[in-house]
Amino acid sequence: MSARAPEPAERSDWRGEGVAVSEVAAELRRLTAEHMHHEHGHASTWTLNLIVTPARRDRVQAGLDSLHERIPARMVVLHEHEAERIDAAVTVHCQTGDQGRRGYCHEEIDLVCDRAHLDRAGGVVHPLLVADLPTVVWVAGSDTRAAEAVAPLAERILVDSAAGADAMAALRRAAALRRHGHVDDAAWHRLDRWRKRLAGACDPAPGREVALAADRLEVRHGAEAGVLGLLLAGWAAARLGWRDLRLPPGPEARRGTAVRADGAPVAIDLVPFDGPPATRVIGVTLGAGEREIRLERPLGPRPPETLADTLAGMADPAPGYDDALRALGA
Amino acid sequence: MSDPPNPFEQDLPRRLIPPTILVICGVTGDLAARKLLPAVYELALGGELPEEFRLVGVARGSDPEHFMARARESVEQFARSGLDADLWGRVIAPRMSYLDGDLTDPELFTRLHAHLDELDAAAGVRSQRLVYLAVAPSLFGPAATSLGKAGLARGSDPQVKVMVEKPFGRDLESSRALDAAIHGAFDEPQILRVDHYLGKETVQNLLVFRFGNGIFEPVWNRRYVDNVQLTVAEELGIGHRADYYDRSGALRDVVQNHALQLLSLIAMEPPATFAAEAVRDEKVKLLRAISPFSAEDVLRDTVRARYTSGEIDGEPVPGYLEEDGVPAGSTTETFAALRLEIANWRWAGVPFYVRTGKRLPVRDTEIVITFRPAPHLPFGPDAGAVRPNQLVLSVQPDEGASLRITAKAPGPEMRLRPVRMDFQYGSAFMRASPEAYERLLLDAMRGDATLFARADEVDAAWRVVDPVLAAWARDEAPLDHYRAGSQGPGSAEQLMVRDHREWRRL
Repeated sequence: MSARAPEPAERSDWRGEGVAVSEVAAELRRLTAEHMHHEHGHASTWTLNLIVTPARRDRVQAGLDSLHERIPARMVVLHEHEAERIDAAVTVHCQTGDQGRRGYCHEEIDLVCDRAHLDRAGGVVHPLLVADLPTVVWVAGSDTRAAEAVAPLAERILVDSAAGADAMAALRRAAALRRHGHVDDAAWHRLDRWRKRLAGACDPAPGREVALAADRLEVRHGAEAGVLGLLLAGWAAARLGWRDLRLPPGPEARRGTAVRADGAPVAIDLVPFDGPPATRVIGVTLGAGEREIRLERPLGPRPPETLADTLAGMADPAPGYDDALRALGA
Repeated sequence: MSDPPNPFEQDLPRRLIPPTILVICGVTGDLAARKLLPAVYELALGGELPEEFRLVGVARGSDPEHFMARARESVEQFARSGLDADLWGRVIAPRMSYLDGDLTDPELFTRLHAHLDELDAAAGVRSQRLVYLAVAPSLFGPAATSLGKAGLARGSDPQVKVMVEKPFGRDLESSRALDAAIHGAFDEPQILRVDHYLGKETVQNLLVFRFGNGIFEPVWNRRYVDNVQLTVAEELGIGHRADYYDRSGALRDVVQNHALQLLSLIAMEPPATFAAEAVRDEKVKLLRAISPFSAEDVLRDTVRARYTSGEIDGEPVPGYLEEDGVPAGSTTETFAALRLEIANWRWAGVPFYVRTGKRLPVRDTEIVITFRPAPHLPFGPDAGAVRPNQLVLSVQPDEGASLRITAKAPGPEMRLRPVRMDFQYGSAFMRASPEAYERLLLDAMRGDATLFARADEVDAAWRVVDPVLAAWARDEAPLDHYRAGSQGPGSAEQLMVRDHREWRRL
């Protein structure tokens, strides 16, 4: 592997309490300009604006770190506090260019706001965005009001419906956000390979015959991947023309039914398994009488893991997702 | 009655890869070790390979055990993601097998056919077969013929495609002979000619740059462009490849393939779609529009030269004739420069300068489009000279683009200065680009031939360089010299000075 040696990094920051957004924007411009005149010569580089809605810091930190390494973005991270004011921290991260080349900078702006400001967060955030770049809103927590407030600024809204405790509620929240723009669900991207594998298994005609005549579907998944099971079942139902999909939660597994286009019933089991990988699908079986397509662990071990992976792999639009949600009644 | 469509395929972003067996002939060689096996591994790691994928290595003088050990070593050493032992043991190794034999022995291919059928029978599938001839070009023809006799070529079911790597011949005549030999067994759609430059992300980005940005196309023509320079410079010498290189030279090694491929992408008309035939049709039209060299043109518009001893990175390096394995009295060029003209409405009168060389001061592949100067400058004589706008598209090593524009220097006076706006691919998309061979193998499996050279492209490119090769072979153009680590020979500089232009400094 020809790994590049890490380039030396520099950072500078500014903090303020009870600030106006115009003040934050001015400090951001000042810090950026300072770095441009730095002895190494830095230039700001962005490929997107990223707005992060309030969530536990530890939950978003890994995602932001992956972005720092991979995707130069202007990041505006929202937090909530009780005090009726906005506190701000601006950090400019710069990679120092080697061999006389320019280094590159990108910024993170942390805004700590009261509820009232969060409820109109669109106006708070807007002056801090780089014009003309795509804007992604990452709904990192369950603050739907803040998400609704910034969603109109976004070309894409990134959610992870597998992150919440209530799977169907998470899918309904994702579905509700679709009216603002294109929703990218990280849980859906974790299914990319399974969808490809199911399609691959149906490519020789015998596999296709099984799928079209399927009378049962079983999705085996990790203990924390119930949403993935639901989405895969919803997608299969949408593509195979099943209707009346019902998947009520059970004490151990979701067991439900659907009705094939010819009226025949389909039994569906979403079966959780303890042990790793807790957040992944483990296997899928699509059966028609004696015949079945049975898929186990995928070929490659690396589905999207980080926020940067998900952003890099986003398709436009994510085909099949809306149909899967509709089939699930979300 | 036709089969019903695959209900799940509509949501896939790319064409589904059918069950595939990749046969690598010459699997113990350098190309397989450094490029092909690591590429297959990376594709497996990325989940890109189909469920039913198998790899069959074919070579002489090894055995399955050694092959497996060696393949693992190659991945350990050359795969960009490093070896994942679990993946190797669970996914890759069980899908690999080895067949020993001499590629000149037709019986080997009969055994190969039987082996492929056995693999398919065991898996209960019918797999497409890709046969990568990672062997000396002299074996392309005999191997193709043997594949044909063994029923692994035209008309075979399942389909067989053959992949061959440049050089496709050493001149127009030998290229056509090679093509005829391969076509003796395979139809054109079954032949995938690999020019690994086309698999590079940044080469593909040239097309996006040109056809995905509305601001460039209106000025991409003779009305606005003064000249185009294409440079493929290498710091390296010939290494241990003296035997190959001395029979090839810079013109065959780089200009006939990589450079003309780049040039065709830069200068071709916009294709209606990004489909293989649409893109390749436009490339061929462009290559055919390059004005052929007459004997006088060769003397006037081409430069050949050879490096002498000098310094690279502050270290002394030998001259070409002192390199290991180079025959005494060799007249092979290590530098070539050409002035080309494209006889069509878009480019008539715009010179395209192409240069390539070894032991130049830096490794750099770039395309420089110099625009015509502003027709009138209202700033007065004290403002300073204005340099024309220049767009530089860098292919390697620092992929990106820069635009030279003129700006006012701060101060009370009107002083004009050139400034550069930079875009660096690596800083905007900080994601490791796949190796060229990963993309090419994937496209081959998908059945997408866009990034492979078609026979008529190769033929058209040979027709451009063939008169030059012939004249150089007759020693009709002098062989110049340049010091290793320098900008190239003086005659190349003269080629530009004569036109009142200059090369962009390396």
